[in-house]
Amino acid sequence: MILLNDAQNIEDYLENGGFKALRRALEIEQDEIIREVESAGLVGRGGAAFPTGLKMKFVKNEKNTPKYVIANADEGEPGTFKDRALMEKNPYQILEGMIISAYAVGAKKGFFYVRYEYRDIAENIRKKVKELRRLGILGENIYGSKFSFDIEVVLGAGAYICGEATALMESIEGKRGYPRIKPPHSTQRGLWGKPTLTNNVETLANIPVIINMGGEKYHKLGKEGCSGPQLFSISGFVKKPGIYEYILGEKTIGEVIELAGGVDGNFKGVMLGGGASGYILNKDYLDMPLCFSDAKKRGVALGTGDIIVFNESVRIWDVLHNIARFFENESCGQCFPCRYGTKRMREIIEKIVNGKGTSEDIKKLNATARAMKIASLCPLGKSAMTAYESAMKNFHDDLMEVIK
Amino acid sequence: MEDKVVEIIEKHRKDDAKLLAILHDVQDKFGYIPEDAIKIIARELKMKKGEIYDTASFYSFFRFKPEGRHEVLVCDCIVCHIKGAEDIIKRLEDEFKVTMGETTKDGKYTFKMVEGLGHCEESPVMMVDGKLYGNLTPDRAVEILRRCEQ
Amino acid sequence: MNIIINGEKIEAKQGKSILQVAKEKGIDIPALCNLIEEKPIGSCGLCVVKIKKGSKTYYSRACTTKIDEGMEIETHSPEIEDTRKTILEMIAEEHKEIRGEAKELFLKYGIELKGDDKKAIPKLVENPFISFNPEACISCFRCIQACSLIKENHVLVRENRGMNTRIVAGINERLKDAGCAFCGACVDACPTGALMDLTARVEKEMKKITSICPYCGVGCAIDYYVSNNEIVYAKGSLRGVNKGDDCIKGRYGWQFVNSEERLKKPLIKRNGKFEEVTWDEALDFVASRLREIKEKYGADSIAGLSSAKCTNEENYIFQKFMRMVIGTNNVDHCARLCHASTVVGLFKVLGSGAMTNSLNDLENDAELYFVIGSNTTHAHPVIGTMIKRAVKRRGARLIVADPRDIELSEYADVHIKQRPGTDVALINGMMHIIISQGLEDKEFIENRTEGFEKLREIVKKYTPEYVEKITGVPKEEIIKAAVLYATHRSAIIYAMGITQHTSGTANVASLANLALLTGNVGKRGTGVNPLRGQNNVQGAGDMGALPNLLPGYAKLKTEKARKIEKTWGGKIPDNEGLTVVEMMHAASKGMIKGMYIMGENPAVSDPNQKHVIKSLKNLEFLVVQDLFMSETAQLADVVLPAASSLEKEGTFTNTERRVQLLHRVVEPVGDTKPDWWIIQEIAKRMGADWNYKCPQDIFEEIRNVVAQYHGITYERLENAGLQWPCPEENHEGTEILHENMFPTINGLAKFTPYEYEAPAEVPDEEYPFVLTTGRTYEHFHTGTLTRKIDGFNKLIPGAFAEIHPEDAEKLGISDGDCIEVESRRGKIKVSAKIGGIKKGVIFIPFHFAESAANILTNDALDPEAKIPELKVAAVKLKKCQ
Ligand SMILES: Cc1cc2nc3c(=O)[nH]c(=O)nc-3n(C[C@H](O)[C@H](O)[C@H](O)COP(=O)(O)O)c2cc1C
Ligand code: SF4
Ligand code: SF4
Ligand code: SF4
Ligand code: FES
Ligand code: FES
Repeated sequence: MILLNDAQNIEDYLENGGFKALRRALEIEQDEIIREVESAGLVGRGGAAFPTGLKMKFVKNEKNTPKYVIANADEGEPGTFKDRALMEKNPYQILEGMIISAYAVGAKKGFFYVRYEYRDIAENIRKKVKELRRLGILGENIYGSKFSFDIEVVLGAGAYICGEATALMESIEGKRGYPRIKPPHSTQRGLWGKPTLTNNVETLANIPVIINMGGEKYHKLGKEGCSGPQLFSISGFVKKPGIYEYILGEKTIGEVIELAGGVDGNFKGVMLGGGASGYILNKDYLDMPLCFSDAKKRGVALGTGDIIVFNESVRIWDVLHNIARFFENESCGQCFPCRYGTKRMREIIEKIVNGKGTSEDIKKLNATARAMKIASLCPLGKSAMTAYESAMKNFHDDLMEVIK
Repeated sequence: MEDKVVEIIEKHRKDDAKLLAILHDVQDKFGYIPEDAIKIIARELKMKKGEIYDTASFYSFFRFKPEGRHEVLVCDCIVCHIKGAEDIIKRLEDEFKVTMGETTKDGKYTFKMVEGLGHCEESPVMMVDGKLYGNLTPDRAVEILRRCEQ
Repeated sequence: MNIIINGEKIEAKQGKSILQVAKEKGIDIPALCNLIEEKPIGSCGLCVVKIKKGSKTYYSRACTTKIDEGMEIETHSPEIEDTRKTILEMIAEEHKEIRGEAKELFLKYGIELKGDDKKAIPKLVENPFISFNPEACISCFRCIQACSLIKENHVLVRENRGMNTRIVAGINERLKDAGCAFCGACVDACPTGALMDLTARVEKEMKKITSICPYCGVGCAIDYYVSNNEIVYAKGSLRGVNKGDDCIKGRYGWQFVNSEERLKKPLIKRNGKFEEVTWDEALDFVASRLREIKEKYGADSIAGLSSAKCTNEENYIFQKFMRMVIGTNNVDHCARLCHASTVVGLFKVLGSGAMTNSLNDLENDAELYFVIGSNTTHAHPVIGTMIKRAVKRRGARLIVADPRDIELSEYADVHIKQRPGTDVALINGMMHIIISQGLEDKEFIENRTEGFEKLREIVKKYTPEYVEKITGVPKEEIIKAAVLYATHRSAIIYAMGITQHTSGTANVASLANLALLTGNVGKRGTGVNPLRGQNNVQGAGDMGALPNLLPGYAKLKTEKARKIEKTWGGKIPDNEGLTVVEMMHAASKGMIKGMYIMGENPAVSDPNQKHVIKSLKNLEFLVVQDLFMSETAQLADVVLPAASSLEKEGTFTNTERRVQLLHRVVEPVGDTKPDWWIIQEIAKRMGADWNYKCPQDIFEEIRNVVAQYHGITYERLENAGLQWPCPEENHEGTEILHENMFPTINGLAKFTPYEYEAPAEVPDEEYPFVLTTGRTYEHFHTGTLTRKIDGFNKLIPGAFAEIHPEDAEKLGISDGDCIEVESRRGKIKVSAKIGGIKKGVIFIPFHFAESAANILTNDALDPEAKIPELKVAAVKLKKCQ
């Protein structure tokens, strides 16, 4: 295992070569670190799969200072719990990745944003930050170098949207978590209007790995279109739900389900890439390798890397209703299409779940979906109908059966 | 109130991300965020009280009225949902004569339905005062709460 | 930049949004949430358009997307129109009572409103001026943008999120408790009619008439919407100095016009009771009584109080009446009580007593505002907003010197809380620091001033330590303020906190010295800027309603005076007349027998009130001309009902010397008459051969007599007025005084340093507190107008005394307690308000006749300007028995 090693205290972490990457990084040029990350082909694990090296380069090249880095541990996507597991088991690797990133882009201050539901973890990270300060691994002149950097742990207060990078920044600034209008991008004008690098915690945990092993070698893990290890949250009706770490592209969805003990009951479908904004898929996808390019080819995405398995007891409309309610509760309400759209979507699906759905309702749902996609301000609203649309494609007959 | 709130503010004065941190500490101290605390924070941070309320009321875990002594968060997000969260909610509502979002008459529990606790490998789950209980059945959920009554 | 919109090639300026460009081209894109074009919030999503750029095609908001070279934009493609329709349908499913601009959009897209949710009512509805209908509110946040970004008030905010997002005030409070300014900006911004003025209603025929606000010296232009000779609602006009801004008084303060309590008929007091009489009877009576007194005791036994609330024309003929028909220079007006020291002090140093700069350049060009003795957001709200906006939007710096925590101090870089009456020491201290750090503008001093050596000599001893001792201000703050002031393009803004002292002239002159020292005069965004209280303080002075100066500030017995005599066809008396406070003293001693008071209420506004009332009672004959039965009118023998400024024509001159034209908004109520008409009728009955047919006739004479007004005509005033000096008809008016020369004999400004002298009354063992007085935001002056308006009374029902928490604790006083405040001259009862004021100081507003602050105040006078020390009196307090 590369990511999910058990190193909950500093002795264990150091024993396994912890902070070797940081010391090495401090000896080389900022650009060289970024080059390694780029050649590694690492992309973000927070859901959007954006090339990490490129993002670092954007921030590095900004003249405006101070710059900031953010570790995104808001993990609000339903069915996703890998960041929690990683923070519990291997917190130092995330922090090490964060310090290296900060050095690479020239940031002096970082924020570690943890969702409220993981309050105890936030407390633990806070302790570790203090510990690292004491050890000279954070604070002034890290490892005696000219580089100084410190981290503030910020606890969220219950809002899924705060996982979105710019909403998260608003939250850190003490405002409501409204996603910002882009452009400008946050790499250019982020926290307090300054260039800011935001990464998912799992993404950050990959950075020390890349520095230790070299970008080229890391790139060879995996296959064309995806590289490196990834954590998969497997839940729902499997016999051994949990976090599984695989090299991207090595396993198909079906294989992973088997490795998690197989289906509990009879297989019906899976939800991939996020229990709210992900895709509802049928058995045709079981042979799809877990790799970004394969997913893209089939019109889906790995998202936050979770697989929720449905057995025959699961009714798809009921799932869609649950998802719609989730979005209604979690829409920030900043823009009309999403604010009104998520409510309308929930109401119509509720009607259908209650057996009163008509083909008019389906038309209305489709129109709502389109309006939300075209006119929502941020990806939350734009993706709120992804589950519905993919379900309509993959479980069409099943769904239309109850429509009058 | 004045002194306690000012003390909290002073503790976070140097933080860059102060407001949320202050609000959390105030809520921990008083069980909720009192109006007067908002006024004091506004004065100290040179903000308008409305700006603080605008921020605070956005987040689902900040509350502005006193609640029950124990906070019970029951997850009904997708994984917990397909694994039976509805049954648990229904059972708890019957047993404690409340609907989600309410506080029991004796002021002991406040129940809240939440959207994902991030422990889906143990779904269905609930969290009582920050402690997680997984692989619930309706019976077990009631039992856990009854047990902690003693 | 070249772009294509709907197939048409368009050239447009870089930096503009697609929405702006489309609008200019007449393409109608629906946009519900857009209020400030430069700061779009992108909420409603209705403005979404399809954009093709290179190989990419995407949808984006027209309001938030800047145009870019080569963009191909489609604004009304089918899927976009469908999207708009869907969004509108979704809104329509939730709301039913939408009106106004939004309603039109629904009609256009053929969508019926059918929501039926009952929505909770936020507390903000509990207020006397603004209605809120939650069924209509679509949470577009325009009101919030107006309240926070345009007005910097931050009263309206959002509560909750998602579909539950709603608009509340503060922490879901009543508007007033949340700090609402009742400027109504939110009402103007609301597209759905969710927020409306309570008085507003839909009328078929509504006329818009623009006139000038009847209250403060900012002189905002207000658009009055009138139906059937009745004002329906009002709001700040985009055409005025206020550029659309207004405040509670401008927006709702017109409501006194139709008050039940308006005087409607002339009254003569017989056997101690007022009786209604005809105009002829009243006018004949006044003329004959004045004639009798003049014959019996001489012209100088009569005195007149003109009014800073009356027009230039009325002030002009009032003083002409006193001088030519009565034959005395005993004419003054209430500016004696507010800005006499400004006129004297600025005159001494700069050669002219007026505000040196203009709102426009102050708003845009000042890098720093030094606000001293002015609670600007309360007394001159539109200027207060301007300062807040400059600080927030463009990072202007702000120094506030005021013993109270005022709203502006929240925005200040430095807040100096000096002891009342120690301003000369403070300013001398700042000058000391500036000189000792070499921050003075040597070139400016060399070329444009004289007397610097004397200044240097005098401020030498005002070291930071010494000044700290006198003012009670930590020296670090004084140093910070001095350095900030000297190193920026700085504008001084002050008001009655500076002028109403025995050292008023010294205070004003010292501020002018400070400005000269740093070269902050004669340039945009600088200057010495007194804010005038009443709307026509500047004009009343310009018109010569002063005992020692004639129209245009001509001195008695000079060449200029002789010229005026020629126009007037008679002799102006030679000896200076009495000032307001002197008149009262003379009356109490029986030397003044008759008084003619136009639109003033000295029984409440003047210091040492008991003495004033005694003096007025001592008169043989008192005639008062007013809108209401004021406390002064009650003492009169004859009361003449006057038309308000909303019911007449004429001109006002605002604080920045801008002469502005009034338009009659409604016809005079009852039998009321414009003041100029009344004066002329009395004059005629006393033998004057006057024949002014309208205010314009009088203005033509003013133009002749007052050089500064020479180039101004009514026609030229139609557009936003003109700032004097305006010597020729083709002259544009003068925005900034002293750009090249000072109006002194040698063209140089003259440093006029003063030593610090303690106020006339300092706290001692018996009277340990300092009382300072002033205004509240809601009420105005003696409340003759604002206290006739229910809404205003609901907001601030009565007098209060603001007191420091520790002082209150020592005396066992809690918030809202009744306390008794006593000075050497009298005592009053008020309720205590514990707040952010300096220790040892209390503040009482002076609007309230029933607990009049001026019972307590001292009538000690500034030796030069004769302004009384309204801002400092020694008092003691205790809880009521
Ligand atoms: C609605 C929404 C919620 C999101 N939540 C999270 C989250 O909880 N954690 C996360 O790392 N990224 C989340 N993201 C993605 C972030 O915006 C951002 O892309 C990510 O933090 C970048 O890090 P990465 O490049 O390392 O993935 C969310 C995005 C959206 C639109
Ligand atoms: S009150 Fe009017 S302006 Fe304010 S959010 Fe509601 S609809 Fe918009
Ligand atoms: S009236 Fe003015 S201050 Fe009051 S809420 Fe409306 S915009 Fe804000
Ligand atoms: S600022 Fe003065 S002139 Fe303007 S509206 Fe208010 S009271 Fe009237
Ligand atoms: S869905 Fe309930 S913990 Fe994940
Ligand atoms: S006007 Fe552009 S989003 Fe509302």
